[in-house]
Amino acid sequence: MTTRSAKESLLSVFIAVAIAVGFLFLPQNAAIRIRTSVRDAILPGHRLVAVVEEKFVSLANRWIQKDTTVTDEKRLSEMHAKQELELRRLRLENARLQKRLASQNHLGVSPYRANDTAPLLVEEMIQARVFGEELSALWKTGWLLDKGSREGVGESDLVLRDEGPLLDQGADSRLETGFPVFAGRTVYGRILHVGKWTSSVQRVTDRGYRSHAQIVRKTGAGYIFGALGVLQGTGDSLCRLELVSSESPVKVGDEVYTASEAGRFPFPMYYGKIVRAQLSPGAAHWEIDVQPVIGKTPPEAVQILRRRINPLRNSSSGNTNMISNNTHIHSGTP
Amino acid sequence: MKHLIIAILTYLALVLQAGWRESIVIGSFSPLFLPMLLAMVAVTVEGPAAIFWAAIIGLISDCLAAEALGIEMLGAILVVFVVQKNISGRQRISENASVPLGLWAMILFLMTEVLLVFSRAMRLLISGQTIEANPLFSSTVGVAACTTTVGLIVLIFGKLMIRVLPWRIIHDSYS
Repeated sequence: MTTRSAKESLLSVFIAVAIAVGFLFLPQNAAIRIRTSVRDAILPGHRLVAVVEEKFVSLANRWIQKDTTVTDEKRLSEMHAKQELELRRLRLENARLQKRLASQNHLGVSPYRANDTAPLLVEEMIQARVFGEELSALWKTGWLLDKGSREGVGESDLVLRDEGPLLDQGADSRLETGFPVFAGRTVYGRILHVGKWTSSVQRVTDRGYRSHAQIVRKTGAGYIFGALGVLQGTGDSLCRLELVSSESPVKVGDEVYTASEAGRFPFPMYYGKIVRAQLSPGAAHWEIDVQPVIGKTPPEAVQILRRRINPLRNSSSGNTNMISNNTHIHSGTP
Repeated sequence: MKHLIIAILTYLALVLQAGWRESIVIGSFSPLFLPMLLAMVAVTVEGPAAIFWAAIIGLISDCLAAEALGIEMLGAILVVFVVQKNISGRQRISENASVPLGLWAMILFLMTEVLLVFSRAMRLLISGQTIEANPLFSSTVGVAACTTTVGLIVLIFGKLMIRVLPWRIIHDSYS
C-alpha cells in the first residue's frame, strides 16, 4: 500500500467511524425509520427466494419419491391437537351460552320479537406471512440465547426488546399500530411498528404487551366466563395476569381468553392456561402466571384483525372506511 | 463491475440472513451471511472502498438487530481496517481464488468472532450490564464456527461455478 493510499484509507476509517458513532446517538424515531426502510427493502428478495425455493422443492419432489407414510404417533398427535381445539371451542361456546342464559334469567326475555339488523362494524382478517425472524436479532434478543445458559448468560435483558417478528403486510394493507395478531384461534400479539410493506409484531410474551383478558373456568353448571384481568407480557415464556380481584375464584388449569367486554376482540381468542395462582394474605389481587400457547418459533402465517364500517350499512354512500383499533373513524368521501 | 457484484451480494446476504438463516443449523448454531461478505470485502477490495462497504454491511446488520444503530457498523469498519492492515496488498488483491482456503477460514472465523464479541459487548455496555468473558465467548464461538463452515462451502461451490464459462466472465470482471 502506498503512503498516499494508506492516508486515504486512514482518513476514510476516521470518517466512517465518526458516522457510526453518530448513528449510535441517532434519535429513536430516525433509527426506526432507517430500520423499517431496510426491512421493507428485503421483501422483494424474500419473495423471490420463496418462489425459487418453492420451485426447487416441487422439482425435487418430482424426482425423489416422497415418503407419505405417516407414523401412528404423528397421526395420533394431530388428532389430539384437533380434539383439543374442538374442546376449547366447545368450552367457549358453553361459557357464552351460560352467560346469555344468566343475562336472560336476570333481565328477563322481551315480549317483543326484535328484527336482526346488520352490525355497524364488521371485522376482517388479513393473512400475513411471518417474514423470517431476523436471526441476527434472534440471538441478540434472546430467541437463540434462551436455549441455555451456555448461549445466553448475561443477555437476558436483551430478550425484552420490543422488536418482534416481521410480517409481510404493512401500511399498504392499511395496518395500524395496535392491531391484534392471531395465529388461528390463539392471540399471537399486536402490531408494533408499521412500515410501508412490512410491520413488526409485539408478541404476548414480550415485555410491554398488555391487554384485557378473561378467565374461563369449569363449574358444576359447565364452563363460565370468570374474572377479568390484564394480561401482561413479561419478556419470559410466561405471562402475568394482573388485577384479578382476590374475591374471584381462580385455579390452576383455568383457561385465559381475550375479554370480549373490552370491545377489541369480537370473539374470545385464546391466550393460554393458568399455571400458577397465588393469593397472598390480605392482597387485593391474585398473582397469576399464564402459560401462553405461542412458542418461541413463530408460525408461518398469522392473521391480523381490522375493522371497517359494514358495507351493507353504508352501501348507499359507498363509504367503506377503515376503523382503527382505537375506534378512530377516518373521514371519507361524502 | 466489482462494486455492482458486491451490491448484489450484499442484498442477497441481507435477504438470506433475515429470512433463511434458521433453515441452516449446524450443531444448534446458524450461520451469519453478512460477515461472510465482510470477509470477502476485506480480502478483495482495497482502501477506502473496503471501508465504505464495511460501513454499509455493518449498518445493514445493525438494521436487522433490535438495538441502537451503529454498533455493528463500527465493529465492521474496525475489523476490515485491521484485516487490511495485516494482509499484504499483493496477497489481498491478487486473484482471490488463489488465497488458500485455510487463510480464508481463519480470516472469516476471526472476523466473525471479533465482530460478534464486539457488538455483544457494546450492547451489554449500553444496556448497563456487566460483561462476563466466558459466556460472551462461548455463545459466539459456535456461531463463528458455523459461519466459517458455511462460508467455506459457499467458497468451494463458488470456485467450482467459476470454472463454468459464463461465471468466468463475472469472475474476471470482478478481479
